[in-house]
Amino acid sequence: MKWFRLLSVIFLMLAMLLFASPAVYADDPPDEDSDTVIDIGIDGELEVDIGVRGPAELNVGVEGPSEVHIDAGDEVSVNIEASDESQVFLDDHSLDNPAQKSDEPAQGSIVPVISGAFPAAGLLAFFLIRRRAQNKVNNEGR
Amino acid sequence: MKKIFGIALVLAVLAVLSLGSVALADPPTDVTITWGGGLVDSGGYPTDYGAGWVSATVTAGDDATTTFSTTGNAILGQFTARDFNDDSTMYFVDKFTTSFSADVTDGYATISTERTDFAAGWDEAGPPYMYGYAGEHSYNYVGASGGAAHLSVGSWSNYASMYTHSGSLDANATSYYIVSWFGEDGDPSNLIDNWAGLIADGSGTANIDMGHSSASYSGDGTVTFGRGCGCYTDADAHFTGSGTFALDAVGTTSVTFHDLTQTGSTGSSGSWTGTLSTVGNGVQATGTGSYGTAALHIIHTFVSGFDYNDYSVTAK
Repeated sequence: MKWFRLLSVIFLMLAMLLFASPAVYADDPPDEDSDTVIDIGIDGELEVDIGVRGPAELNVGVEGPSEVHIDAGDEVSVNIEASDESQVFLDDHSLDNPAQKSDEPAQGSIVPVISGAFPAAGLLAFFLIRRRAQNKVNNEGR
Repeated sequence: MKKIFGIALVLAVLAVLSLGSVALADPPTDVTITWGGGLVDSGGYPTDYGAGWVSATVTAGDDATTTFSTTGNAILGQFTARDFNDDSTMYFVDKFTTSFSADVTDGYATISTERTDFAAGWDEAGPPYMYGYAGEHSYNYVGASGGAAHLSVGSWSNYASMYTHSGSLDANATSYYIVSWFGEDGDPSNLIDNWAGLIADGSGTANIDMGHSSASYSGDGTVTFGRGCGCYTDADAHFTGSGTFALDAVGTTSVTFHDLTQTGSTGSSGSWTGTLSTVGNGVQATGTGSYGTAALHIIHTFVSGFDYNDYSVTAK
């Protein structure tokens, strides 16, 4: 019985620790030194390619009939302000009206899913073991 | 019981993996911006021109920042930056690198970069500093009217210092204007602000190589301009046509123009602050230890070409 109690406490502590881990992957990194901000302004008749990988905030403003391609990784928060005459493509998806898409983050981050799976597994295991221990105690008491 | 321990083992491994991810630093942030008319070579570098304006600022936390801007009737170029997010030496300063290459016709290109942080825990108490103080910065500009210009330069900074490398400033125009300087600014308590730079303007062609310019790792405020990292000086300037070429530097204990040898000058003038002496083919002004007590200035005028094979400067 002592083993089950000890294991229950350990699993509970692990679950609490693991619950805290998703904060590491928040949009605003807790380490100020990783806070990379990129501000880009474009005007005229240009074709501009922008590529960003790694944790960053990307702000792009476009005036005039320029064509802009943005290839941003999963950890990049992308904000776009573009005039109607411009053409802005984000990750190969054309934005019909880029001006209405500002403050929309890049799509497809899988990191929160992975980091959330660990605490879920930890809690599930904790409850299973606790239930099994209780059943065993009940069986021994009969 | 074995089953429980099996589950415990699996969870322990998961916990270690998860906690391990907490301890890891963020991955580097890479930025690439290319601009032009739309065509690129196999390496992604633009090969035709577009008309317009592009400007970008990359702020690498509180560690460094760089800003470029370029505009003209025909422009193309590429900018890259990497914020390493490493802080690998526990000085709370990330490594940061940039590279910039721009071509313009009837326009300008400029880039400035500054190292904005210093080694926390080591240099917070004030001078004397073990490493370079925050505020080291470089600035480069080339503009052309009635012709074309090119600017390329790279930079590197970390907890200790900053330097620039692989640079050139070129023009072939009816009228051009070129500025390049490197300085360290930073510490308001002792007013160290040593810097060195050049200004050229004229009509014709200009080809200026910019060797390695840097601020000292040791925090003593030494600035080198085009001097290399102790082993390779690449600081030559060649012009056709007419114009002026000026070299300036301000220091605290000394300023050295390492070589005054040139050809093509039709007139020159200069001034200095401090005690003047010759050093090899060059000249040195010695100061008293207060900022601004050592300074050198020289300007050459030319009407039919000008060559300066070593304009490198050290300002301490």
